[in-house]
Amino acid sequence: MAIAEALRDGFRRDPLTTATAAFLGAVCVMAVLGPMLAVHDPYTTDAARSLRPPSWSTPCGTDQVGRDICTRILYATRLDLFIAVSAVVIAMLVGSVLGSLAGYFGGWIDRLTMWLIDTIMAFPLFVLAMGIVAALGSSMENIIYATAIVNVPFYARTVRAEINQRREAGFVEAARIAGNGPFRVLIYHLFPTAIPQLAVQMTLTMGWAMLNAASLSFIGLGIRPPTPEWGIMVAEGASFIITGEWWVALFPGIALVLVVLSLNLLGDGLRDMIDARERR
Amino acid sequence: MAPVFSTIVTRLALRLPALIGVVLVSFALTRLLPGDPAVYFAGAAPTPEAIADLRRVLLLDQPLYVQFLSYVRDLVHGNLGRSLATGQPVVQDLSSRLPATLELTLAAMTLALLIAVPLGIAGARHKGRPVDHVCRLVSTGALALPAFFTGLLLVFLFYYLLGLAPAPLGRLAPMAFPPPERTGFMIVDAALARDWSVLADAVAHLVLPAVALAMAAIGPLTRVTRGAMLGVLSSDFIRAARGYDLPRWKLVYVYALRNAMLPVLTTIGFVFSFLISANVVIEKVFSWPGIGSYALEALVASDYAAVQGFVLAVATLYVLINIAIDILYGIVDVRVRLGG
Repeated sequence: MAIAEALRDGFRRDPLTTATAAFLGAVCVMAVLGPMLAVHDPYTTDAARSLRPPSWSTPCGTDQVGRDICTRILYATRLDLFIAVSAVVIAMLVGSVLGSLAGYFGGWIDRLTMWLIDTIMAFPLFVLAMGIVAALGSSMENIIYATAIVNVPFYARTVRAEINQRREAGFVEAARIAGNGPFRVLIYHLFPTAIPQLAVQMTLTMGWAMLNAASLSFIGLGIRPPTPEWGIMVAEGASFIITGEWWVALFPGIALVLVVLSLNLLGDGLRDMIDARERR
Repeated sequence: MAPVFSTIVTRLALRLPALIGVVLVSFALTRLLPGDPAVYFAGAAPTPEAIADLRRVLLLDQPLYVQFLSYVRDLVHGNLGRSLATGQPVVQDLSSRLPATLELTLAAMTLALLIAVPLGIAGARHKGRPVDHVCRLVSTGALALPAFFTGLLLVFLFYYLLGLAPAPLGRLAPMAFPPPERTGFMIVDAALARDWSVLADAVAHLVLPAVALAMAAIGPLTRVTRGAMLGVLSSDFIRAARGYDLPRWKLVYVYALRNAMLPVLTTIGFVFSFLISANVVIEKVFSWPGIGSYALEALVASDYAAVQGFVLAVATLYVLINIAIDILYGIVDVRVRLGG
């Protein structure tokens, strides 16, 4: 496969992207194996050990009710990744369908889709997500849906541009003459050519989706305490920042920043690789 | 002047469909309230009659298009409903709190531009050198920082550890006497009242939230400035100008920068979306009495009219900002002005 080769070549030339990919791989393993790796329980409270600073037995310290922060960060990894991945996958699917139809058929379908996209983009996206969660009700599913909705425009635009660009290409014409119907041409011949750009878009928006979901939890929408989630954990630690118990908010915040930063770096790296391949 | 005017009109017309969409979405959000809005608005222990009355008053027994028309009529009259928590009309609450939000957002935007534009120019001029690495680090790193976390880190550093900043509790110290309100912008009001101690206090309270908020805008602005400057600096007209032996500063800061500003201007519009969004969490961290913290208080109290009013107000503000930038763009860019 040409793409696999381009990626292998790219990873060899770009150690930073390789390192971030490896780090994210490790985070995914932690998310899956988390409960097996944890020494403590994320929900067990212990008033006698509340607000302990980091030590050997509790490397990230304990929170206001004595729960081990390291364990909670580990458990939260799974939830935060799950929210971001589901939101991005839903947005990708919806955006791909809308973008494909708009790019291939044009006309009123295109105009309607673009209007929908422009309408979503006319809102500050986090505020729209806030309004959606407030209207649908505060739950994890609704955080996922809201994050997915505000991400749809990016995918729809990417796919629409890719499809539009190749709609009249020789191989599409050939497929059409060979007797394929419009949907067959679209699904089997045109859409696959948009997949590399979609993959880049997914890595780039994943980090943003994660920040969006964590910010929603931070302001008290969606996931509720005591569920371990990075945004909530930072929110719980916020009041202790001004009294000097910095570790309650710092470590979950760092976990969030590290994962989002890696996703952004990986997205940038992948984009460079794919762009380099398309230039050749 | 005529071409400028026609640009304004065309640009306004281009934004109109999106504005209609915004009103439709806002309407949909008010109808999606969890459960029956009538039961919700009827209060704690509603009687069936009260609910039926409310259904009539709220037009819930009417077809959807009638409800929508009445919603639009209310909007035109500036009626966003009444907040359950404060008992005031939502519009009144929002407009009394808007200046605090605007002051913070504009301060952050100015700060972000003052940092991002010079950094982006330096990165483009010295591509591959240390300053360029700083530039790329900032443009990637700032994007990964959640505003609430940056805010908390700044508070910990400058309030708790260094003691340089005041407590993150609003726009003025608790004992300070606010200046007579004229513009609603604390800094401007204090300066107008010639109350220098209050002015210093207001500035001290503004710095940390503005820096935290600016971080949300610095990433994309630096990246776009650097990219645009790189493109312009390698273009033919700059090479030709170099051949004419123009002074280096004039080349970069007059000819190149003016052309590179167009993509930056477009990004400013987009970045306002980040700023308005991050504003909500920053207002929570710093107890800033703007419309963001108003919306959060409303969320906690399940005060949906206030929340939806906030969403609509913010979306309208964002559309207005984008229209202003469109117009500015049309004036700066000769090609757009001439309809090319």
